Amino acid sequence: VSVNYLGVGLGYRRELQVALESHTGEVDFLEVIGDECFEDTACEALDLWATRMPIVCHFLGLSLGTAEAIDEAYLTRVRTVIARLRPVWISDHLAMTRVQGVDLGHLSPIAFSEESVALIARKAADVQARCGLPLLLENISYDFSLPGGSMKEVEALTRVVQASDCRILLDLTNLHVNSQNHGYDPYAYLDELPLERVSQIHIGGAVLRGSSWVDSHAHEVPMPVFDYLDYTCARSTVSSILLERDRAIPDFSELAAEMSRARDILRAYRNCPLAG
Amino acid sequence: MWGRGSAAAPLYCAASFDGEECEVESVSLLDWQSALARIYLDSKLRRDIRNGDKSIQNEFRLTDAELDKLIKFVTEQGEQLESFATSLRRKRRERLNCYFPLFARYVGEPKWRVVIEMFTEQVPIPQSSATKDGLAFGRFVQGTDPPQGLDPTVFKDLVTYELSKLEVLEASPVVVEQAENDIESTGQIWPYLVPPARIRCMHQSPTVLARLAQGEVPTHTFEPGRRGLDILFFRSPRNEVCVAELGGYLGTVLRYSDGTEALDDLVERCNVSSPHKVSINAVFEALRKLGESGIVVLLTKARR
Repeated sequence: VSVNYLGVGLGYRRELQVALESHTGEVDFLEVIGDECFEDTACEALDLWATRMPIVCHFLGLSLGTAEAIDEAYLTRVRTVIARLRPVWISDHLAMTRVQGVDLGHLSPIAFSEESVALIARKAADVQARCGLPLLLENISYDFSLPGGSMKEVEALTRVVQASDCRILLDLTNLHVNSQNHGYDPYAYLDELPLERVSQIHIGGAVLRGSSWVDSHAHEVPMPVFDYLDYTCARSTVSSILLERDRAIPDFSELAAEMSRARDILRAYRNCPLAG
Repeated sequence: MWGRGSAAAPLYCAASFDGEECEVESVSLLDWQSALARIYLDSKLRRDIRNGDKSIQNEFRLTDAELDKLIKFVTEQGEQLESFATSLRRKRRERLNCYFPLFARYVGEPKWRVVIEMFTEQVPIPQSSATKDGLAFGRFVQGTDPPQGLDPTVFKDLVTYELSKLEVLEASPVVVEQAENDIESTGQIWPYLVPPARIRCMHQSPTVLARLAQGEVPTHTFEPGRRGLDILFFRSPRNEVCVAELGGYLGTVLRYSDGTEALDDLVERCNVSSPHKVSINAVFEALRKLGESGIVVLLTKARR
């Protein structure tokens, strides 16, 4: 499978298992949360899916942004999952989830500084080499900017992937949320990003709470996200788009409609075989 | 765990948040991140900082300039920080909810939130793993008076029950006293699975459980050999936490603290007959349903 050529996929959640059985032909690939595969039992359900369609593994706990060495025990588990599910690539976030033995349980932003960039690039390159698979780094949504930053997020992400030779998992919903909450132009962000390094795109639900957008993963994909998707597809070769839905999972037809919309956009720019 | 350490960590320049030049002596990035994480997690600390408390400076040995930046950060981005802290608490609550399903259901959503808030106020920093955090929570609750309107006995009893499951999960499987004798009377296993107090809590009568265990579920739905080894946890009549292992074609209760007893050996020694197998199959299905209710925990192919 080409690194850039998976089609339109869906984030695997246990609640979707039955629906997926009935709609296998409408999904090009699955993204599984790697951390949920650390337990043998959870991984069992995915063994079969791994024989049916391409799988990519999305991890939450590498904590690349923490100024500590990679947690070796965690990395061992990551490699075990890789050996079992044979994903096309793996991904994690430009974030910090763990500090000095304390698990924050949530993606926390990093300071967009020279030091952070160098640190994350070093760690990401190490993980990629030791896992033997492309490592994609995802832009997260963040509620606040940390003190100590000396560059924009897009510059930090760009420099990290260039220095580590990793690729990008571009979350367009996070881009939407951040651009709205922090008041910047999302298209300028896309223009600055090295789109040739984008291997996968995330689209997911978001909701306006008060005056702030939240990437809820529990609502429909905001309309502007599809505009960003169109803009990105027109300017890149990325052909792997994934719909994330973690909570309030609706009838499969609603998810299929969102995937179909993404597929239509992709078809407009790519001549590739797609499901659905 | 927290505080300044790691001399090998690179120096961190806290400049440019507000355009100022950085100080000559600055805290390491790791220490800075530790201070931030502490601020994310500890609502009291955030309040104290906003009220002018500077104790965090000594704890993380921040320079005056770094402290000023931290105070500015906490003060100016207060709303966003609180929103983020709320997300962290929600994630922590969700994880605890997974470990204390029966207790959470008994306590009810509003009071469950109150209990969690009390816990996170007093123990703001999570343990190094979700399981350990669950253990800390359970022990905290054991020493807490229940919210008004809840039966103190049931409250404590339930949390002890949930806690004991976690202890079993965290440690190696423990010795179970009952074994072969239960195999001889498999038809009587079911009343031992859930003590009456819990049955009342679940609004399930023993009769309902008996019907579950005695064949309302067709036995042919059980697929021999498909399940492999399954582990379940339950309470014995003497209120001990028990670990039971169900084989693909036979359920039995094992002692395996020494790891030497094999399922097949027990089967052979006990000469289990066919009717027992059918009975066990029905019990398995009943357990599965109880597992969905959070009364017992079923782990397929649990690690030994």
